[in-house]
Amino acid sequence: MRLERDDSANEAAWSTFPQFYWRHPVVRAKPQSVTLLKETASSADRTCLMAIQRYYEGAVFYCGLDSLWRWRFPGESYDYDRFWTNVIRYLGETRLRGSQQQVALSTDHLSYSPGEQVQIRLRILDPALMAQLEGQALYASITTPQKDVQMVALKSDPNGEMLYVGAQRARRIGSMVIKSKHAAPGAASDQKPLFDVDHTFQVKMQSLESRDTSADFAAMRNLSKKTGGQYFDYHNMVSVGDLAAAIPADPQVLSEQLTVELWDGGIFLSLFLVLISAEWCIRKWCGLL
Amino acid sequence: MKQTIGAILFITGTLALGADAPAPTTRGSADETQALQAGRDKAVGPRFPGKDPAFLVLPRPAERNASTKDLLSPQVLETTDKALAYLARTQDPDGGWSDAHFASNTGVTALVCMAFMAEGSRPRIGKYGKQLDAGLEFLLNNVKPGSGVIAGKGNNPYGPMYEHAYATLALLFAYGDMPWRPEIHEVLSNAIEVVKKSQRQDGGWRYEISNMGASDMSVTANVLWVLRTAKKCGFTVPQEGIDKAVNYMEQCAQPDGTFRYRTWGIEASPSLGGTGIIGLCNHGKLDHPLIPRARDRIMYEYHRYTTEDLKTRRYLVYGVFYASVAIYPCGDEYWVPWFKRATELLAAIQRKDGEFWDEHDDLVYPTAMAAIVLQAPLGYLPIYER
Repeated sequence: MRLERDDSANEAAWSTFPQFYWRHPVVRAKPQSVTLLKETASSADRTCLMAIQRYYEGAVFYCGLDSLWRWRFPGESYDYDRFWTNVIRYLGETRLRGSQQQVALSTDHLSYSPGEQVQIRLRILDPALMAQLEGQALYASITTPQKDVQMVALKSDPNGEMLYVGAQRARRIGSMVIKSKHAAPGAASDQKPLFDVDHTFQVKMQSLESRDTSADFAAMRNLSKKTGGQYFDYHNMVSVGDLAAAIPADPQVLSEQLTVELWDGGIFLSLFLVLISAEWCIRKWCGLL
Repeated sequence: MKQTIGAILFITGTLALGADAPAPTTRGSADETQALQAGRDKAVGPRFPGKDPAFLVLPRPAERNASTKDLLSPQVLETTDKALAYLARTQDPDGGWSDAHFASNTGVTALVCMAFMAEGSRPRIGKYGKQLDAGLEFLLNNVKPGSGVIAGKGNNPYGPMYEHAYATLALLFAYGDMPWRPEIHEVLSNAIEVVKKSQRQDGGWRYEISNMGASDMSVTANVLWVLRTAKKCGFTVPQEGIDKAVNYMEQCAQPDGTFRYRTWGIEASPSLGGTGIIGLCNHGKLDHPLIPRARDRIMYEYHRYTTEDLKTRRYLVYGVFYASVAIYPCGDEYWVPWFKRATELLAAIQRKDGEFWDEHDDLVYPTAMAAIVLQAPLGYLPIYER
């Protein structure tokens, strides 16, 4: 749990707090909870001082200390107020938003051709929930228009992102509904799962032109290079201003090279006609015709 | 204490409750947001949600107050430890404390209990938890049946209102920390009723628990303290009574920034200026025009006179105690220099066993008041609020 962004400042802030005289006795932290603060002095599992666990649209925050007002020293009410403000905001914001926001289910495209691979992504938006889900098997179900259900296993992202990914080949045509629902292990009822989200995508026959309407950046970059232009996208858009600034303010003389093919002109035709006429006349004059 | 938890707490988890993780985007950081909100709060100033001055929402701090730690120098800590040790040593077998002129006195006991609370102890918990618990039990055992007055046998001969007010205040601070004594709620309800019924016609209170006669500033300020704390604890306190009391304090104000002891008679003194500020602040009137004058008068007194001069003052530690509570809400600009001066003064008058004194050879209540003042930078006792 951090009080400051900078590591050294965070350590310094924690080290200034006075000792607590009492904590609530605990047996252990619940298996799926995330321990935020624990005691170093004692041994075994009975060390949890603060923990959090996601549950449906909200979260349960446990604090086994009843003297956090002692944090008024040495920074007056700064840390105390800040801590509780952030705790209340964290616990209440999901409810205030009016919807479940700790996960987001999506696919890499909204529309697929039959036989194409569908990449399913379940992004975890809450670090506490991500820690809570560690080691658990997650699944997504794909429901076809014919009400057939296919289960897809979701695996945690190998790059360490807060993401679970899965893949399934699109086999049937129609509107498919992906659903991901997960209850806490040992929960008395799955009426209130940790999350319950769905997403829809289409599988249809589609032309090559409309299959991918996204911008082809590589082709545009190649085109600009071959035509002597410059290529801009959102990566280097800031340098567009330099391009305009490079245009000189003084009047410029522009030269242009034109290639005219003589054989295809009127003069060449006239000359040809004159010469051929002269030959004809000479031949006539000499009686060679 | 073996049960205490190491000051260095292990930090784990990835949840950042206090500050956002570093963000590569240009979005405003948590610190910037905090600073912006603090600036906006400062512009708005203190607010009263529900229009009740007892519940004051102060502007949020923009950053940690670094001066607080500096004020508790090793010398101040040593002075405090000696004073608290003296108080712990002098506890009576019945759990209360006695002074030269106040045997088994609930007021003295309440002040000692508040001194231990200012250290961070709570009933049965903390360095002085045992003594504090016994002291609070003593208060609860000295509630007079029928009347609800919390006063023992060694009351002030003029009347028990000081004892009753301080005892009620100490129990209000412990309210919620003594679940094994659920009757504390009824004791406090009755005690607050006693206070409400004994308000005099002029709006204030005095030694005797009666609504007849004239009031004085000192008792009135203490009672206002009790009423505000009672409100914050959830007890019903009528606003008209508080308004009348504040009106009385305004009548006692002098043009030079001091307050008379009563609306007539005895000369004004700077320590009474402290009671005036306390009364007005407890009513939520932080911008009252009388406060700056009284504050400046106290600051002048403590810097104008030498320690030897101040030693000759009557009720010196009592005056320091009032002044501390009065200056604290005025901000660090005044509090830091005043506290340094006050700690010099207190260190100079402390005796070798850790006790403080007054001119009547009372030792316990001055020591308790001095200990409360010395521990004010900790901010644990709710009488020190900004």
